[in-house]
Amino acid sequence: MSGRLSRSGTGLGDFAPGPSDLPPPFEVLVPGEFGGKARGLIHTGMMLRDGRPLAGEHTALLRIPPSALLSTDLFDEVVAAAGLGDLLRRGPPEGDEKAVYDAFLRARLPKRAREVLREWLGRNRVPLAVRSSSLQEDNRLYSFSGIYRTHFVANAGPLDRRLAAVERAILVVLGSTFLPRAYAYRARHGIRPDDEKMAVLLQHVVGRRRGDLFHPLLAGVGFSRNMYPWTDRISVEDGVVRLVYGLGTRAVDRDYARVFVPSRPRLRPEGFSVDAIEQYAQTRFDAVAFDGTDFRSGIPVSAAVPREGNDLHVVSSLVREGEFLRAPRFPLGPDDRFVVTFDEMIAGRTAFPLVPVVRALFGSLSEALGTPVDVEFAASAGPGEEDGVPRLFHVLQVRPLGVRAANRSVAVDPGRHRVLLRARRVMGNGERTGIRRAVLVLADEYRRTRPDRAVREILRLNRALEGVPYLLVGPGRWGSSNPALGVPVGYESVAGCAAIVEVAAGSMAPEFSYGTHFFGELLSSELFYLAVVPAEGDFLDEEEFLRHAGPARDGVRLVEFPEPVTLQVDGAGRRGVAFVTGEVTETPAAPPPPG
Amino acid sequence: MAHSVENANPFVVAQEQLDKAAKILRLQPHVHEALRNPIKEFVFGIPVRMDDGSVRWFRGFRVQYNDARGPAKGGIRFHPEETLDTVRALAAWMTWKTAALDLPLGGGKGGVVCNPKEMSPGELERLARGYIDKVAWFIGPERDIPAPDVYTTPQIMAWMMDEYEKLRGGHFPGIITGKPISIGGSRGRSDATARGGIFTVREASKVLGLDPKKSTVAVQGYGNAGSFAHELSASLLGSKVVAVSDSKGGIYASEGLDPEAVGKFKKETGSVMGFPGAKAISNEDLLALDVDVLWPSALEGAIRRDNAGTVKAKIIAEAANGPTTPAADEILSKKGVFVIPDFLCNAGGVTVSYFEWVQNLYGYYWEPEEVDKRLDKKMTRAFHEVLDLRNRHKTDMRTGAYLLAVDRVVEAMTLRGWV
Repeated sequence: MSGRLSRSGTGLGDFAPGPSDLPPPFEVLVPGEFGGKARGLIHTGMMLRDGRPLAGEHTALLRIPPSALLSTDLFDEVVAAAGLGDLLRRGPPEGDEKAVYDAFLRARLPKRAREVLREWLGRNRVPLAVRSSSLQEDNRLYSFSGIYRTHFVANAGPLDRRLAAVERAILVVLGSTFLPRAYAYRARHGIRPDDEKMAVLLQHVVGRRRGDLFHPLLAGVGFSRNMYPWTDRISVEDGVVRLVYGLGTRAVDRDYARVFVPSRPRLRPEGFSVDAIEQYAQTRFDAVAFDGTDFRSGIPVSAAVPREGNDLHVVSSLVREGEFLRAPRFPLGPDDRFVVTFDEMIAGRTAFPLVPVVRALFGSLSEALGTPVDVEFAASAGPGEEDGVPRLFHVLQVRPLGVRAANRSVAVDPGRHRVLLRARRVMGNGERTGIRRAVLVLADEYRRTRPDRAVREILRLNRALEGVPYLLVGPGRWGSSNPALGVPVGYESVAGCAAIVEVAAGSMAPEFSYGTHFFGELLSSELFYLAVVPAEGDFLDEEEFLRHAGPARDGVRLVEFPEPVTLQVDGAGRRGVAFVTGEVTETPAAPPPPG
Repeated sequence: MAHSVENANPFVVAQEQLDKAAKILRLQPHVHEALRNPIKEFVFGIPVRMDDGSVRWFRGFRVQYNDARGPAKGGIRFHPEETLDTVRALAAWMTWKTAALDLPLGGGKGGVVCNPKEMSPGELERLARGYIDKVAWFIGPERDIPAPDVYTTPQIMAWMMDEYEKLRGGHFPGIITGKPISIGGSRGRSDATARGGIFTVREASKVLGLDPKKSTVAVQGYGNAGSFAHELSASLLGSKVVAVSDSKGGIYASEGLDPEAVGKFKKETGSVMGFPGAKAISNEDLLALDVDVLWPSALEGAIRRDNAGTVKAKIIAEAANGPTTPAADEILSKKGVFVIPDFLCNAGGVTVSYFEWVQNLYGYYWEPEEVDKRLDKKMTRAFHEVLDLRNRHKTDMRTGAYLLAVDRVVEAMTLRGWV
């Protein structure tokens, strides 16, 4: 078999091995180009084969799940057979877009590919993750985050049935190239249709069977740079990990996950109160299902039957007397509640060295790839390992973190444009242009109004502005439960904004109030957070906002800027600025910071 | 009692409240002056070894406002914006609260300037132990008994007790309350605040001739006090809770809300909002509902000048601290609303704390039923003593409670020859 691994723009430097170089967990079923996602993983596999100490003294624990590769040649053949080549080039189809996608799903894999697949499935009878690995996906510029999805196949039963299920999953992944959201994403980023092709990675799901479910004990996603450090005690370089019980689909989606920073693993964004820990703990998990549905999402953790012998206890704490946490021990007390905390593992009190492995991996993979990385992983005890504690650490995916817009370096430079606001306590990273709206709450007006009416008006504006990026600017802590400290607005009421700006005003001091959930939202939706503290040299041009603002309704004003506004946030350098793109001033509008 | 006055120094507020009571009680100037300031204050630094090896110093406070009636009692707060004046004010309010309940205790409070949200469990433990290392000479089961408060937990109480016992050599469970049950905590503590409030609502209903079984109830706030107020209104009094709310908003159902189902829903979704079959209402709508009993159980200043006029409830049970502003108090008083003031209504917590200390000294621990029974007795008696004073002075319950408390402290000081 001959094969090529694309080296265009994947952030993996000159890494381009031939197929003969592929280490054992990888098998090439259809040779050709394998796209970004497969590439990072293969590179990691080869470094392991070469004995590189990727996790220091714990390197022997590292594994990559057995994986099969189907190149973009398969995509070309299927597209040609289904007569969809023109469509892909022409752009978004008019009319019923989903019908086009469905038509694609009615296609079949070429005979030769099916034969190879049948043979491989004959030897591989475990649940499979069918992952997209497109040429554009996971390169330095475009993340395609949430555009192409992973599909799971239980892969149980007679061979013919398994083959049919896997074939369909492959077609679903290939066909996702034709989904409207994929067209929209490519168009928005100026990617030519011809430049996009899809390869597929079949990967063993890490885990063990529990009833009619199959899932790992834990899965997670780690970023070697953390653009959302929630306290001054951690830095961008410390990285961040989101950890869940069950399949990792929960860790990348917007759900509660255990968030920790490897260098300070026992600090938690939600604080240490038992109430908060319980409130922000994972309550649902995902698993492969053997009931014919293949994938089940949102299973209540309580349904995992926390009883003796169930490995949920390995990642949980018990809430006792409703007020303090302790490591689970059996038998349970009558009022004991399980909460997924990962506390024992993170504190290093189990035999599984999760934190040291992640920490070492961040360092070694960043160094090897020459760029910050994003690592997906999973771990699970094997069938005979009664204590439920994992022995091995499985790397599922490795990609340059630069692929996420949130991790490109940003020049915060308003030039001679009129500055609207400037802040030094920021979270997020990137640039947003073309902002023409702001929702503005001024401290004095807010104090004179009824908080619930202000909240209602903000909710109304948020709905009215759906799809329109806007700045949300207000006094104190957005989302505080105490109206005297900030507008007590639920996250869903402000979810549409591009940036959340908290302005210090008297006793109303900015503070990150939404806890883990909000932090998760920031992380996954790449929102910006800026705290403007004028006493510390930050700046808000209230006059300019008011010049373009409508009348206050219940203390809330809608601002319509005549010129587009650009927002630049440098998470690493801890500064952010918003400025009027079209307007140039003779002198800098903002006063220099004191001292 | 902790009225919300924006940007005001809480200690100045506490002193002004005392001044008002002193005037009514016609306290002699030297007695009044003796009550205006704490008797003992201790301010100190606590060195704590952080996880990265560095040492950080934290500022700590312990104030014993007045211990004429018994050992000082009051929580320890871990808060980034803690100030000595806040601790003084809270210690003063504890003095009046324990006196109003006729507990043989004085009032105290403590605090540390720190942000526990940015500390690891190990750092918190070292801070808790460091605090005790500094105050061990100043506190004791027979001197001053701390308890959990803002951002301090039963786990922190356990560390503090352990440190104290290490220093003193022996077992002294009565040094601190709010401990986990297995090391000397009291049963019946989790719902004590709401349960105590329920007993006062029952008594207030008698005064107004209301049948609790026919009463409708609205609960603002669904934390510990609010959720138990919901549950116990239904299970102990047989009342119908038609509305509840949390910070995201409220729900209303004229046929009543099942506490267990709402609690489960809140646990799963993070809010009561969206509870099936209930109508969504705002927190402000909830306050204006035509119900018999309204429980402001969430925030300071929930009932203010601008919304007090809309309140239709006959009884307000102040489970939160300072939910009614002074201006709102006047409006409610004119409307004839029966307000059970916070330091009577939510005193169930400190009363069970007192029971914990009693059990610790006794070395004998009560069954939950015993705790509940004794709590009922204490709360009911305190309610009627306050009511009696209110009737005799032709004033409201809040002023009545204040007068009763100050008078008791003055009497103890007089008997001791302090004034």
